[in-house]
Amino acid sequence: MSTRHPGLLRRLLTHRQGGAGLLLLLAILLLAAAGPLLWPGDPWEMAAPPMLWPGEDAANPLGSDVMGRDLLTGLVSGARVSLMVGLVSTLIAAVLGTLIGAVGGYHGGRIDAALMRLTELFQTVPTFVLAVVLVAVFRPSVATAVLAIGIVSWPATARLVRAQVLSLRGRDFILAAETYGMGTARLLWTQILPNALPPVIAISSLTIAHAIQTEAALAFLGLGDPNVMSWGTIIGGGREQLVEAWYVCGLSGIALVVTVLAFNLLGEGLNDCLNPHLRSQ
Amino acid sequence: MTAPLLEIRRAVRHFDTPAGRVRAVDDVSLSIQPGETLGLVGESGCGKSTLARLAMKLVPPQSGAILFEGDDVATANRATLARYRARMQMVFQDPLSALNPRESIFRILEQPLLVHRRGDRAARQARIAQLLQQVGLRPEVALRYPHELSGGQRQRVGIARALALEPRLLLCDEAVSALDVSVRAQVLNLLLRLRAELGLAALFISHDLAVVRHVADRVAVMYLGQVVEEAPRDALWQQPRHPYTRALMAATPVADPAEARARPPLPLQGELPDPIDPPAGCRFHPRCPMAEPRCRVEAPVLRAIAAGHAVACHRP
Amino acid sequence: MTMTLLEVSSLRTSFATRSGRLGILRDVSFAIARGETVALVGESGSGKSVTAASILRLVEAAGGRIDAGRVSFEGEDLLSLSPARLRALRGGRIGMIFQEPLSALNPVQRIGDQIAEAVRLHRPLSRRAAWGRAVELLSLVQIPAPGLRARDYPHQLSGGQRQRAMIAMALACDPALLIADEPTTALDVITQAQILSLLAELRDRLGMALLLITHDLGVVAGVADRIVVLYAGQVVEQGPVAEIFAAPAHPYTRGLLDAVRLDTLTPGTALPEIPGLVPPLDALPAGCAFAPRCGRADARCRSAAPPMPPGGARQAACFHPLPAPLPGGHAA
Repeated sequence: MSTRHPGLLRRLLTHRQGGAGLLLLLAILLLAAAGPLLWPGDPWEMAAPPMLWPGEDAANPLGSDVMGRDLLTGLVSGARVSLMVGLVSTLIAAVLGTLIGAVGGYHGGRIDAALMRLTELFQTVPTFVLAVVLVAVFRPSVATAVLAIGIVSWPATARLVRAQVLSLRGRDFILAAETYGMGTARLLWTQILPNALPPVIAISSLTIAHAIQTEAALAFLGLGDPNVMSWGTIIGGGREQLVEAWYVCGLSGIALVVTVLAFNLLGEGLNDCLNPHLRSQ
Repeated sequence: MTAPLLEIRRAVRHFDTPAGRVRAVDDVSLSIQPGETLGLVGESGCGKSTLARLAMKLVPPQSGAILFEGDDVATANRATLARYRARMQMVFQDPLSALNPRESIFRILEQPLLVHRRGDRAARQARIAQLLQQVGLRPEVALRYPHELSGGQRQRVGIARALALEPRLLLCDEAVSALDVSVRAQVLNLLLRLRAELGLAALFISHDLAVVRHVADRVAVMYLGQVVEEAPRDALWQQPRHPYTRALMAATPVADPAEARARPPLPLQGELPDPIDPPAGCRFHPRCPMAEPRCRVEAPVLRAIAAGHAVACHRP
Repeated sequence: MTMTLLEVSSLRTSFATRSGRLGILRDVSFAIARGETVALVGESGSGKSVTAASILRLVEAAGGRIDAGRVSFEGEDLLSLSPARLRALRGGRIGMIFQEPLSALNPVQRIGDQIAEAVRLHRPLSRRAAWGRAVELLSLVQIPAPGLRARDYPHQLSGGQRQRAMIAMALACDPALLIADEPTTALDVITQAQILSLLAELRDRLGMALLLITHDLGVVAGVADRIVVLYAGQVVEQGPVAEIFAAPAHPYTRGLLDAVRLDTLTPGTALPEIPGLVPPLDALPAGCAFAPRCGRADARCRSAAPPMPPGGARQAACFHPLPAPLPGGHAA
């Protein structure tokens, strides 16, 4: 008889991509959390001479932008914004998508048809354009960005959950639960969702990566929160001096790419580790 | 005769598919007495699994009545239905598919008790230990997950779950068909023992005539959504009256090389026709070696030809 | 035995798993003569399908590895053949059919085209001639209106007809050996009987040998000439079908036979059963693999593996073989 499978964390760490993604993400999280303690100060404060190159002055190790704002403080602040926006908006998308997908897939018929038309409606509108419109209509702020990104990101999750629920719906253990009288809500909650969620978790880490990119793009277009320094804001501010001070856009761009990559790797790893068919091999 | 435990009266269930209407169960009447085992045989697609799902009201019948202990299940409200379902439980064919892969065996066996609010935690624990013992599993199996068990162990868990609510009737849908031959005997013996110990009635659905003959008191043969013959076990094997029943018996393998070789060739040709567009008249006539013109136009009704022996054939 | 067609000797095949290599076949030897029907019988995990896949070296594509042994077919060593020669043999002199014809057939190609393609892989025929051969093969496997059915797609055929089409494809080049892996397991009783009698009839008409792989001894009683019983990757008994059924020597064979002889029991009585479970291949007991489930096992069985006695038409790897023929079925 085989022993219990090792925990998810153990499996993830032994997975090449998943382990790399997880470690990278931990480093970013650590920076975002410890940054304000190590490099205190307001990222908006003009604390140095403008366009100081990285390494030129030990007080501003990564240099400063055209307004003389310290780049390191900005990047650390940006990491907090990016992670926060990514996580919260993905949470919104996952909850919305799971709810809509599960209800549609379980009930079928007209309810399902209506919900899927709604999903298609959202999928046919380009997500970024929709996000821009939503943010522009309301006042640009972190909250509106989070909401807008969450609202445009749920359809993929909804479709995935619906497909999962549909395939689980016909399984005998669901029938068995019905035969001993389990009600719909309990059936969905204890029998169907635990089996439908693993791929949702995997796709969610990809949704986070996409949300971070979307937030940066919004901030780049000037639709970010004017009080918050995000990577998109730094890139947007640095684009005029791309030739003289490429490092402003370059460093924040690298930060963005690394974070997105971390979530993508993690998603890949989770996808493999949560898949029971791959797991047993 | 005492009142039947389960009685299916003229049940009809059709499914509309893009290709047309599938007449899965078409005017079927059956009954099971307390403590009795009714065997239901037929080829895949004949409607025998749909019939079990109708009995449980997992799918509602389009017409007809399903009476459990005299009350109509088809029109019962949710609470009443839950009560009926507890007294009539199901054992599935594929034990792996029938167990939630993310629940431990303990949790799987606990769920029906939780749903029906049977006992506190200690009482549930005791009941689960008792169930495991009844189906011949060691207590530590409770901590395991379905994928860690063998096929036979999983089926024992499936049976334990079906017994959790102390049913009067077990619906066994091909309950031993997916098991290896050496394990099949173990599980059949378990079912036979539990049936005797608990006085259970059973609807035993199988495509395997040899197994049905061993466990059933009475047997009904289904063909394309209809019962074509129904008889006490011994009467059926001594004198099968429907040509389809005879064909099924002739096709069942015999584990004797000499006898198997001496067998006459199968008396019928072809395969089960499409249930979407069943043949007119007797549904069996295109494959029947004895068909006559009348069979092509007039559908025979199920009628008694001896005590407890009914057959739907113009030339039984 | 006259004219050995296929000879498998001391075959060992293993698969890579998370916890190292796992031996699936641990010494499998048997032979098939020309025109003979051999049934390879075993439960899931016995290695019967891996044996079939090892003969044509199909295990290699599935991640398996043949570690030792010899497979010779018409005097050629299959394990050292060039890939080109092996391809020519597969579907040529050796045909193969599987349990689930729906997944073995291409869903988007007409049945006739698939069979014609199989023909043209091995024979220099024109498209038209290959199509003609496909229709001829479909009529050989007794599909009604073969000319029309050849134009059908797999999903348009019934389960039995699909299995017939698979057989037609396997017969495309008049094989000397047809390997049938659980050919009737997915089918209903009546269709199963029809397919088995078709296979027997084709064997007699075409003079080919048949390797029938099955878990059900009862199914092969009427078709097989010889039985080879596998347990946990080893041959435990082999011999002529009549002798095996009349007097199984290995307790495991006896258990399998009991399991398919329900008709000799009084209905409702307890069935004879083999206790316990098939041991997982990564945790096989020392000594005889069947010892933990065997009523006749003693200390010797638990410490040393019983060897297969050399030669002879009838062999059983057991220290305590069952003696006399079964008197009338079930008295022990």
